[in-house]
This record gives sequence, C-alpha cells and structure tokens, in this order.
Amino acid sequence: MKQLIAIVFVGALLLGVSQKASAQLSDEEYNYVTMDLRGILNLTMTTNPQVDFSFKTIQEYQQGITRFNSTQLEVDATLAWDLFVYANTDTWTQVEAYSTNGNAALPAEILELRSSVDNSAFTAENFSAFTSLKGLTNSGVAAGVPAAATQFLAGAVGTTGTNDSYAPGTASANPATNRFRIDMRMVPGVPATFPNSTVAMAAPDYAQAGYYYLELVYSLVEDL
Amino acid sequence: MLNSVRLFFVVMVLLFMGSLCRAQSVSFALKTSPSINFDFNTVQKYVSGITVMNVCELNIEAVGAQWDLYVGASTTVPGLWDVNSVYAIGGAIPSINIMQLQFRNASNTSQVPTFFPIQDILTPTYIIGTALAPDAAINCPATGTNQAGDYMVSTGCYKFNVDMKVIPGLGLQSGSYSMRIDYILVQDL
Repeated sequence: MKQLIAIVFVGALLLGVSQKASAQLSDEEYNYVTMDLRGILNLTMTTNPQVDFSFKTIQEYQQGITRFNSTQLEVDATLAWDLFVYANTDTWTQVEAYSTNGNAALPAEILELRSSVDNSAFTAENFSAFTSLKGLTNSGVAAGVPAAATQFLAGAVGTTGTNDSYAPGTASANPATNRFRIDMRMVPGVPATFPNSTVAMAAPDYAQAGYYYLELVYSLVEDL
Repeated sequence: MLNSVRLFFVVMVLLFMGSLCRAQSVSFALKTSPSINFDFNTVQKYVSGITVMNVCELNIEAVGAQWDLYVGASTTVPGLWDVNSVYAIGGAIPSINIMQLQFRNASNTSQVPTFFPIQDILTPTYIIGTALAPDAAINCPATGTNQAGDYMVSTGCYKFNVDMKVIPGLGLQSGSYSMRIDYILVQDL
C-alpha cells in the first residue's frame, strides 16, 4: 500500500514538473520590405512657351511693352531645390532684317523679367523688380551649372543648411513659393537703344529693325 | 527488484500520459514571407502614398492554447528604416512609422481595425491580446478572438489578410531603404 502511494505521489510530482517546465509556444512570420525613394524635381510651364513682343508704333517703342504673367512655372520637388534662369546666348538671334541701318547684335539683357515670388531674402541676384536677364556669359552658367553671378528665381548658389534653397513641396500645396508668375518687359526707346539694359549696344547703338528671338533657360536643380 | 521495475514502468506511463494531456501548439500555417518593394517615382506617389492590399496571409492554428498575435518592425536603429544607399545629400532618414499596416479577416476580430503606423518590435502592436497574461477568453467571432482554433475550420477568425500603406510625404532623403516586419504568434501565458 505504501508503495502504491509512493508511486502515485512521484507520478503526480513528475507530471506537475513536466507541465511547469514547458516553454511558451510561439511562431513567427516575416515580411521583408524595401522602399525606393527617388529624387524628383518637376518643373512645369503652364503657359505658352513662346512670348511675342511686336513693336509697331512709336508709343510702343517709347513706353515699351509689358507682358504680365507671360510665363507661369510650377515646381514639384521631393528635394531641397533652386531655380535659376539665363539666356542661352549672349545676344538675340536675328531671323530677318527689315532695314540696313542699326546694330543687329542685341544683347540678351534688353529683356527684363519680374517674378511673383520674392527671392530677395537670398544672396543671389533675383527678380523682385524688373531686372535685365543676363546673357549666357554674364550669367556665369557653364555646362548648366550656376555660379555666383547667376540670377535665381528661387534659392541661391550654395549647399543645404545655409538658407540657400527652397524646401521640398508641391505647387498645389505651396503656391506662394512653388508657383511663379513671370512678367516680361522690353523698352526699346527712340532710337531703339534699350536704356534699361545693363549691357549697352556697340555702335551703332540702336537696334536694326528686324525679327529676332532669344531662348530662355529655366533650370530647376537639387540644392547642391 | 520486481517492485523497482514496476515503479519505473508506472512512472514512465504517467510521464507519457502527461505529455499527451498537454498537446498544445500555436503556429502559422502555409507561410509565405513575401518580399515587397515600394517604389516612389512620382510626386503623386510621395503625397498620396502607395497601398498594397493582401501583402500576405496569416493562417493560424492554435491547438489547445489561448494565443496572442502582435507585429513590429526589426531594424538596426530602432524607429528608423535601414539605409541601403542614399541618392541625395539633404533630407531625413525615414522613420518606420510611415509604414502602416492593416489586419483584416471576415469576422473583423482584429483589435486594430484600420491602418495603423508600425512600431519597433520592442514596443509591438497587439492585433490579438495584450502584453499582459493571461487575457480574458474571447470566443469567435468576437473582436479579439484568442481561443484555440484553426484557420481551416473558422476562416473568419483565424485567417488574417495584411495590407500595407506607405505615405512618405516630402522632405525625406532620397535613397533605398529596408526593414523586416515580424509577425509573432505566441501562446497567451
């Protein structure tokens, strides 16, 4: 009888110990997730890319022609960014001459720009008021890379962290900083010496009547 | 001698019966562990995010045991994605909580019924149960069902579809990042 009691006791003890010693059951499953964040800079011109100035009257020569909101630009960026502008040549390209008198080499600077976004808080030359647009050489842009002399619509030359760039954002959410309305003005005068230009014409210092064009480059870049 | 043999035999029988009595298990069945890539290549995706439904299915088999299910992210620096490479200079390393998860099943037993930001595995989000143990018993199909059951018998309570959504927003550093998401099924002890 004593043996039976001992057997039952030992058995119960072992049973209890075996249950207490069991580990917490568990199982695991995994997902491996990768994420690719591409750097995106989108510059969109929402207006006609061609802006025409046609001087047909003395009044237009004297008073000039101003094209308000001639160009609208929108910037969507996932990176800190700068926006600068320059003329792709030093002078206007003459397509056709209407006269034999005058100088056909019109400096790019006879075109004046003004931007709706005030970039005057930055160190770069800007377009808070009507300002002559620099030609390629004067802009300092070489192989698409801006320099200290480059005129900026937004930001300035420099690196991130020194108040020289605009923050990532979209035009729809940040119209005050990411949507640009650019006014253009040209004042030939009589004779057509373009007195507002920062670069004077060589002799003869008045423009030859004719048909000209100038290509402007708006460049949106990561703030490097 | 005979008594000793009898004693040994009885003890072994009792041990065997004891092991039979505690036939418990909790496990995921039909593991898939898929890899998934979120490719943000437009501003629209950055702003609106990318949602991928049914990234994986969690099939639960809980035999004789009450259970908890929780989820969290494993990264080298807790709270931040692992950096594989960077494409730009500026911007911040993304935090893991831009990743949102959603657990769905037919009976809506998940305690977190909508998308929620993932947290580090050290502070996980409990889909079923709590960190405290044991939790009150909840039977299928109530929210928080944690009783023993099988996904093949009660699909509505023991099978979860996992959805993922990432909304990075703007201002993060461009680059390639990664993380591992851990789903832990554990006996509620």
